[in-house]
Amino acid sequence: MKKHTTNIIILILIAQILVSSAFLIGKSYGTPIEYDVGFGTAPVIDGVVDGVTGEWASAEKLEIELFPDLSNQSDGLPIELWVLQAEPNLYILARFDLNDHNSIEYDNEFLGILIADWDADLNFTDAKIVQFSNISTNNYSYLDYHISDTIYYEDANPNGDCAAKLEGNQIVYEFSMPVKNKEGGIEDVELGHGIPFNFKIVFGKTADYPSGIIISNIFSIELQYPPRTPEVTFGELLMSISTIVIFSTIGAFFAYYIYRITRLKKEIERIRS
Amino acid sequence: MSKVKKDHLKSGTANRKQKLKEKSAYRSVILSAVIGGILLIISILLNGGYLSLFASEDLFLQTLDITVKVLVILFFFIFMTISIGNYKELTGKPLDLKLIVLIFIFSLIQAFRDSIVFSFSLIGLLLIMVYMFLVQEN
Repeated sequence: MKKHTTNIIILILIAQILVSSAFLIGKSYGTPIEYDVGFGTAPVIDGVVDGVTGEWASAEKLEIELFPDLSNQSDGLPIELWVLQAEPNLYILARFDLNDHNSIEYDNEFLGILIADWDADLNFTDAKIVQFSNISTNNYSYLDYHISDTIYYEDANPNGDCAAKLEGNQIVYEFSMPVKNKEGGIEDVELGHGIPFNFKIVFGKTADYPSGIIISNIFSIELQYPPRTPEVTFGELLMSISTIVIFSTIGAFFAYYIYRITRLKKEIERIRS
Repeated sequence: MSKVKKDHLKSGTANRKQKLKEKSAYRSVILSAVIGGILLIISILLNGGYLSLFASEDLFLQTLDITVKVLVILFFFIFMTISIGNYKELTGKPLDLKLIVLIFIFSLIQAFRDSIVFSFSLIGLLLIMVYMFLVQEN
C-alpha cells in the first residue's frame, strides 16, 4: 500500500514537471515576442544613428535573432531592433553585422518589415522593403507592397520612408511608417494605438519575394497612446453634469428640510395655540 | 374633592406622557435627519463617483462595493422616512404617499450612474415600501 502511494506521488511529480516545462518554451513559431512601444522625438531617417543628438535614445531597444526556420530556432543572425513612436509615425531600426558584408554576395541584399492586421494573427498583408541594387555604392530603393496569397503587389500609393547605410560590416536599416493612416486604403495595414500588431522582419540576398527571404522572425508591438490629457467624451460630460444637478437638487431639498426642522418647535407651539 | 384631584392627577400624567412622546419624536426627527444627512454625503461620494472604495477588478471586492452603495441608499430612504414621518406626526399631519414617493425618487436617483446599483436599490426600496404598507395595514 505504502509502495503504491510512493509510486503515485512520483508519477504525479513527473507529470507536473512535464506540464510545467511546456510553459518554459518562450520562443516558438506563432507566439511572437510582445513589446510595448512608447513615444520619443522623431529620428532622421538617413541610415545613421546620430549619437550626438541621441535621436534613438528613447527607443525600445530589443535584441532578436533571424532564423532560417522559425519552427526550429537555432543558428540565428542576432540583430538589434529599435522601435520608437513619434507622432504621426512608427520608427523601426535594424542593425546587424555580417562577415564580408561589402562582398558582391550581398549586392542585392534586402531587409523587409511585414505587417499583419490586428485581427489577422500571422497573415502578413503589408510589406515595407529596403532593396539594395548595389550595396558597395549604397544604392537602394524603398518598396511598399501589399501581399495577397503570398504574391507581392507594389502599392499604387507608397507610404512611409526608409534609409540604409553600410559601414564596414555593420549595416543600419531605418524605417518610418504612418500610424492611423487611413489614406493607405486596403494596400496598407492601418496601425493603431492600444492593439498588438504582429510584424515579421525578413532578410534576403536576392530581390525576389517571398522566395528570396532566407531568414526571418516575428515580433509583436503594442503602440501606446500618445501622452496627452485624456479627452472627455460627451457621455462623460453629460454624466458629470447630471451627477452635479441630481445631487445638488437632493442636497437643496435636504437643506430645506433641515431649515423646517429648526422651525418645528415654533410650528408646534403655533398649532397648540 | 378627591375625585377632582384624581382627575387632575390623571390628566397631568397624560400630559407628561404626551410631552415625553413629543420630545422623543422631536429627538427622532433630528437624529434620523442627521443620520440621513451623513448617508447622503457618503452616497454623494460613492454613488456620485467621487470616491472609490475598491479599485480592484476582484469580483468579491466589486460585489462589496455594490453592496455598500446599495445599503447607503436603502438606509438613507429608511432614516429619511422615519425623520419626515415623525416631523409630520408632530405637526399633526399624516405622512402621505406623495411624500413617500418623493423620498423614494430622491433615494433611487442617487444610483443613476450604475445600472447594477440602480437595479438592486430599486428592488430593496420596493421591498421596504411593501413592508411599510403591510405594517401600516396591520
